[in-house]
Order: sequence, then structure tokens, then C-alpha cells
Amino acid sequence: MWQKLTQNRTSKLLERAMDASMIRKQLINQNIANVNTPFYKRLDIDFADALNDRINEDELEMVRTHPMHFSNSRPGLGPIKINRETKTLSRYDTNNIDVEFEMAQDAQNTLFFQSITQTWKKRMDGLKKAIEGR
Amino acid sequence: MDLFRNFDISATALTAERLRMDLISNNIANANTTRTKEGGPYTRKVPVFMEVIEEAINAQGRLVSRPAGVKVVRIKPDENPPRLVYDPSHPDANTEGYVLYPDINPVVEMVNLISASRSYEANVTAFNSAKDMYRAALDIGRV
Repeated sequence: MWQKLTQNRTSKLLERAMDASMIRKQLINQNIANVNTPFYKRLDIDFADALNDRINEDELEMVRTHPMHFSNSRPGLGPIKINRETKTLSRYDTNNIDVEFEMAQDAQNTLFFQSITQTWKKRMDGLKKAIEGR
Repeated sequence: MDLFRNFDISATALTAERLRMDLISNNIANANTTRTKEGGPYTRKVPVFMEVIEEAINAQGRLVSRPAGVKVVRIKPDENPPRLVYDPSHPDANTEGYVLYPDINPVVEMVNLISASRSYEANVTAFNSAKDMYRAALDIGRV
């Protein structure tokens, strides 16, 4: 029962999305940090790809002979792939960081992360309501 | 600690940009310096930035490379020849009466200074939004 509440598909997806968002934040910080580094190319992840990975993995779950056996789709097992963008327009020193773009991505990423934490909070509130029974 | 990597990345950039601002100030301050310890006029100093990627072993035991910010790998003296100014009364004038002044263009220095301080601000903003994200994550546990 408890496992169903905490280890279901939605919570795995939310965890994965938070992971991806946190990694993305690191890469955005790295990009902004290297705005004046010659030859630097921007780093990013394919967000949809990172989330799709997880969903497919859930669908291809291995057959378990006992419910307490480990599943092959535990959260955090699939590494999130980091891409280096080399084909976009760059400055004379071949650095392709556009600070305005990075700041926009940063704002978007932060709000996305906060929306996921809000969803978590709501889930926890619901659980609490069920436990207290009022 | 991996959790606070975001802060470390921005902090390395703040250090690097601060050093760049220091060098620019030093260049402007020494625009008329004709004498140095090494002999000859002051030479303009330029920082060389390099991306830092570090290798680490993650929770799954895999070797991964991860971003670790930026660092100033060296401080390079500008190779432009010094400026010659005719001033025979100057104590550092050569036998022909010319004084060697460093080749510092205040306009170039000011443009670089603005670039450095704006980059600094951008990194502070990135730092603060990381803080917002951690705070939101901490909020999950609050009942």
C-alpha cells in the first residue's frame, strides 16, 4: 500500500523531472560562467528526451517473480545525456553563449522546477488529508 | 558536495570576473607608468579564461565528467609595442629624447570593464535563481 503511494509512475516522473531540471540548472550556470571564455560551446540537455527515457523504461519493466524484488526502472538509473551545441551561430572567438537566451532559459527552468515542487507539495497535502481522515 | 555544485560554478565565475576587473583597474592605474621592477614601461595584463570540466564517480559508480565553472589559467602580458612620446626632460627618456609609455587605450579598458561587471551581475542572478530552486525543494518537506 505505502509503496503504491510513494513508488508509482507519477512520483518517478516527478523525480526524474526534478533531476533533469537540476542538471539543466548546472549547465545554465556553467554557460553563464563561461560567457567570456574563448572557444567555449554551450551545454544543454534535451529535456523531452530525458523524460521520455523514463516513461519508456517504465513500459518495458522486467517481469518480477516477487513484488519485493528490485524493479529495473528505479528512478535515477538512466543517465541524463548532456549535449554540447557546436552548430549554432557564434562570436568571432567561436564562443556561442548568448547571455539573454541563457537568462531566459534560467527563468523558465526555475519556474518549471518550482511548479514540480508545488505538485509534490499538493500530493503530500492529499496524503496528509487521507491519513488524518478529515 | 554535489548538491551545491550550482553555487560553486557561479562562484568560480565571480572570482574570475573579479580578477578581470582588478587587472583592468591595474591597467588604467598604470597607463602612464614608465618604470617597472623588470625594467621598461608597464605592460598591459590580460586574463586568459578556460572552461573547467572535472572527472568524478557518480552514485552509480560510473566515471562522469561534469561542469565545474571557469578559471583564469594565466595572466598574459599584452605584446603590443610601447608608445613613443618625445619628452627629453623626462628622467626615463632615452638618448634620442623619447619616453616609452605603455600601450593602454582607456576606451578599450572601459569597454572591458563594463563587459566584466555585466558578466558578474549575470552570474549573481544565476546564483540567486539556484537559491530559489533549493528553497522550493526544501519547501516540499514542510507540512
